[in-house]
Amino acid sequence: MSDLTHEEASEELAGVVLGSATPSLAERVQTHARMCAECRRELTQLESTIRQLGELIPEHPINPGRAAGIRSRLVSRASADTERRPLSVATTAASRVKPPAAQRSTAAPVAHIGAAEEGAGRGVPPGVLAVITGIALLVAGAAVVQMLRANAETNSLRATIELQRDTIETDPKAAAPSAPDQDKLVAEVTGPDVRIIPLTHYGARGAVAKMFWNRETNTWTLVTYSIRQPNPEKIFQVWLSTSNGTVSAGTFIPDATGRAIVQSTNAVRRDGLYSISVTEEAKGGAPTPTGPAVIAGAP
Amino acid sequence: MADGDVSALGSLFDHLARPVYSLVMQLLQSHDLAEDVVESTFWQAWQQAADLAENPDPRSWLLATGRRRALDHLRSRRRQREELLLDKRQLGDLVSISAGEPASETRTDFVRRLRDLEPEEREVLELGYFRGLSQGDIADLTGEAAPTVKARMRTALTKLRRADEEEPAAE
Repeated sequence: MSDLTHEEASEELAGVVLGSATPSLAERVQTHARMCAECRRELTQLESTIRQLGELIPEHPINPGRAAGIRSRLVSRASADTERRPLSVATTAASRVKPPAAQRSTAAPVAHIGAAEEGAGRGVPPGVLAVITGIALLVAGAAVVQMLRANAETNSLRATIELQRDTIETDPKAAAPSAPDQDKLVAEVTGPDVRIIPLTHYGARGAVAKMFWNRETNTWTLVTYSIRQPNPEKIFQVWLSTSNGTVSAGTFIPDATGRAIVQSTNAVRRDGLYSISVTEEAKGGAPTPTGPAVIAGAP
Repeated sequence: MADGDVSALGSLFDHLARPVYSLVMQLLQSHDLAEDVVESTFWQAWQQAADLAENPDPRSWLLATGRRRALDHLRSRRRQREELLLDKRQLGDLVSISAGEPASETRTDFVRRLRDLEPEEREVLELGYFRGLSQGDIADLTGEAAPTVKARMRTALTKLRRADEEEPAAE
């Protein structure tokens, strides 16, 4: 409850909406206004007036390059944030699935499993059924987590594509690779048979790139998130170490924020991939890896 | 954006970064600080996307949030009297600020009411809104008592209200 009388609070309303009242006084006024319809109404009207005042601000042009930098950082952070969200969503999803099953004791799962297996559940001891139910829930949970992760990857990739377009639009001299068609690219990395392999380097706190291996179409899409620039007169080259030998999967130079997307097609047996690496090579690329590995990963 | 659509954040930034930057730059008078505030404002928009989605006027939400953050910056350090005096000297007149802008009917009406304010009433609005000065600072600068500053702010804002906002529409 506010310690201000109506008159006292009313006198401070203008200072509160202008932001000229001290934070503690503003809080006391707001507390009063929550209980006082008249002050609430006046606050709303004053805020509307303040909004019009804000529209009179003379324009201060923002540096386009700096604006692009802010935008890139925001999109990048949001993308990372989206990747983190599925973990909590997955937990929520799992907790949503579990309680009804628990509340129904074992009756509902028994009915469900029994229907699927034509009475196989009849006569099975409750303990065994509980184990079966638990396994079913685990499998369902894993499927949900996998689906959410795939969505996160898609969002992340879309953000990266957006970033590349920004770079190209705002800085024509930037050495970013050309952005592939977004829909085609997203389709390649979200297909039903895509394997994701993280790549990193010594000292990194997590993956700095991911390879999306679409085993149905033999398409390889490398997305880097934070990789340094190559040395002068050098480029980065992607290598697949497979049961058929080491093959090149494209060359690239990341943009100023360390991002790049490289796509190639290489037929590799499902169990034939040993590792993926990125090396620094002379411009134009090399037939076999010669430079130091910058990042690497294995399935 | 509430669904985690990252591109929506990019679009929001494309459409509204300029007015938010203009407002916080007017307050902070520093490109570096203004850019920091713009970034943190849009980040807050991302984090509160669900609230923002329900807001019919995201532009106002962003402007108000940016302004609050800019004021926090200003108040995190106690400005010296010399700096405040410089603020006062650098003030543009609200009426002249708005003179060159394209005029909608609402805006023209608002500017007319601004022009009708007493000079000392406009002054407290300018110092409070565009410079983020506290009532104590304004009192110090203008040589007026704090209650007088408060009263002027209230009178000025009341005069600026549109006539149709004075009384709620009859039910």
